[in-house]
Amino acid sequence: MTRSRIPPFALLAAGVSLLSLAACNEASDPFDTAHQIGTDPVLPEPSSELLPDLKVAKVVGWKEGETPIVPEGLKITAYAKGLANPRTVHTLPNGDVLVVQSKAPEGEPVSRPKDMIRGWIMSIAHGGDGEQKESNVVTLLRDTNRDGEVDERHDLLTKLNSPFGVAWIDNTLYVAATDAILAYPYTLGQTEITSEPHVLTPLPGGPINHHWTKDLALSPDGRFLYASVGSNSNIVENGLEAEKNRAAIWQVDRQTGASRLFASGLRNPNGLAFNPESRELWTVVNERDELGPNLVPDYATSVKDGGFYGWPWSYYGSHIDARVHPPREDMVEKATKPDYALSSHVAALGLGFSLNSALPAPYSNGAFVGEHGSWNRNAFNGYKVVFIPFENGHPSGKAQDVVTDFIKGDEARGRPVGIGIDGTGALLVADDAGNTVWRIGAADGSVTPQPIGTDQMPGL
Amino acid sequence: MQTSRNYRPGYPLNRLFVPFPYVCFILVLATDIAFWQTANLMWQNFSAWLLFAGLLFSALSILAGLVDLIRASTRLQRPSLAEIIGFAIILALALVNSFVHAGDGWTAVVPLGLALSAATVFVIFLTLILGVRSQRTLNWRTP
Repeated sequence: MTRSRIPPFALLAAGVSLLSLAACNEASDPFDTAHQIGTDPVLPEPSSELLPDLKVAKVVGWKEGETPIVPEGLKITAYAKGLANPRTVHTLPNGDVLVVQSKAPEGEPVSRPKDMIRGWIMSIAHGGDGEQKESNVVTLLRDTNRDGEVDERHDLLTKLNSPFGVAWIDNTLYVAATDAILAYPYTLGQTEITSEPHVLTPLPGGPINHHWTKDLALSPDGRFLYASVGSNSNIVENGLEAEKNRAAIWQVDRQTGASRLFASGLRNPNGLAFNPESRELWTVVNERDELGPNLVPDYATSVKDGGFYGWPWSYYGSHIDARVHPPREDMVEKATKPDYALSSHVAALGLGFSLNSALPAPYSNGAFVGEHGSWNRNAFNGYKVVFIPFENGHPSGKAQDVVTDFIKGDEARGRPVGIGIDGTGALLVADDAGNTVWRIGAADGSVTPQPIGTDQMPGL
Repeated sequence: MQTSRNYRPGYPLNRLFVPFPYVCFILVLATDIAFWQTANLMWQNFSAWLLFAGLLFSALSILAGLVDLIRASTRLQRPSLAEIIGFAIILALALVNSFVHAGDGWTAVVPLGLALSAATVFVIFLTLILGVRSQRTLNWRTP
């Protein structure tokens, strides 16, 4: 046995080295995030800091009368308050709006000491203080007189298993819980659902269920559902087996429940939506962390049948990720470059197209993207809703900020997630940390002649 | 040793904890080599937990060492300056190594993590040799 008495200055040395590491990360960041917005982002070399960049915004919520800020020509109001983690909004063909509220499933196993620390940071960023309302609920909001204010509110479904996406067709409401697509008989106008669902198809659930949000979209012909299934890790640290059928978009036959992988290599896809002009499926994808504050840009992309988008072996086309072993050159060669970069760590979770809405000219054709924001940089990025102008089904210009001021100082009042167009043609934004759904309408109060459901394709 | 008749040597508390980091950090080298050779993630997780446990017991060792400082009965059994410096270097290396191992994937071990694990083991053996060679060994069990 050695006879070392542990010297106090060992502790001191450890503390000093910690501090100096942290100081390195505080260095001013000259990189302009605007270089990573658009079709051709600038990608710096990967960097691996000992302590990854980190800045967590504490959630403080919205005080009475406070709202996010929108540009001139638009008007923002609270559509529904006092919700429990609203993640997605979905408009039915009669104009009723479904708000899916959910919490992350519990029970992800702790595999490494790091997982405990990660869990603690997540709880700050999602606002875990005080009494929590019961979540995992689908609530129906009804604006009877189409004046932009909700007149009726009904909880349609409760005690779901971390739901996210919904779709409706043929008197059937499809709900993507984190482990299955459920089908409920539902006629438009109903304010309660009492019948039991049937499982259309199971989806990869727990116990490891890292990226747990499963979004849904209905194909324009109504035959298929598309379900997004995020990866089970940042960069396969739970093993490649855990990624089977994940980091992908599934195509599910509504009649039989048969499924196949429609596209893969998409680390955490959400916000599935069909472009009304090109009728192509689009998604927003959260890219990998810990390659530095300015890698890898999250993106919006059209999704090709059979397309492979790189994860985990490469990012943004053929940029190899050295963390994945063994390397797979054949997969890197196959990787498709995504369409439109949104810049790094914005955590894009929501996507909605504005064509056929009642929004004024600059916003009449394009995509709104809900950027949840994340803690993987030392300067906040995201925490806002941006608008990408489109022409003929393709992005045609620089993304611009539309709904901002979710962050105030170093605190988050809310965090935007899902995007929708309500029954009057106004933009809806689900704000999970702020427990609110925001409505952004034309300042002159113009509305569409009749409601259009999220899944409907006018003119088909 | 020049123990006086009324000097009763006490057992230094730090000795209860100091072996833990040594054992943990030596095993980290073994599990890192296993990961390097097999790419089985189990070994990477082992390394991360061993580093975590080693650092936890290092903290306990420091606390115990501070208690020993104020106990006159352990005065003759204090480690040499060389051992103290050796332990500080081991701790610093293991701390940096645990940050490297907290990364995701292959590069959390190969090559930097593996190199740090080997360097830590090298300094551990050096410190142990210095401890043995220091002529201040006290046979505390038999007065």
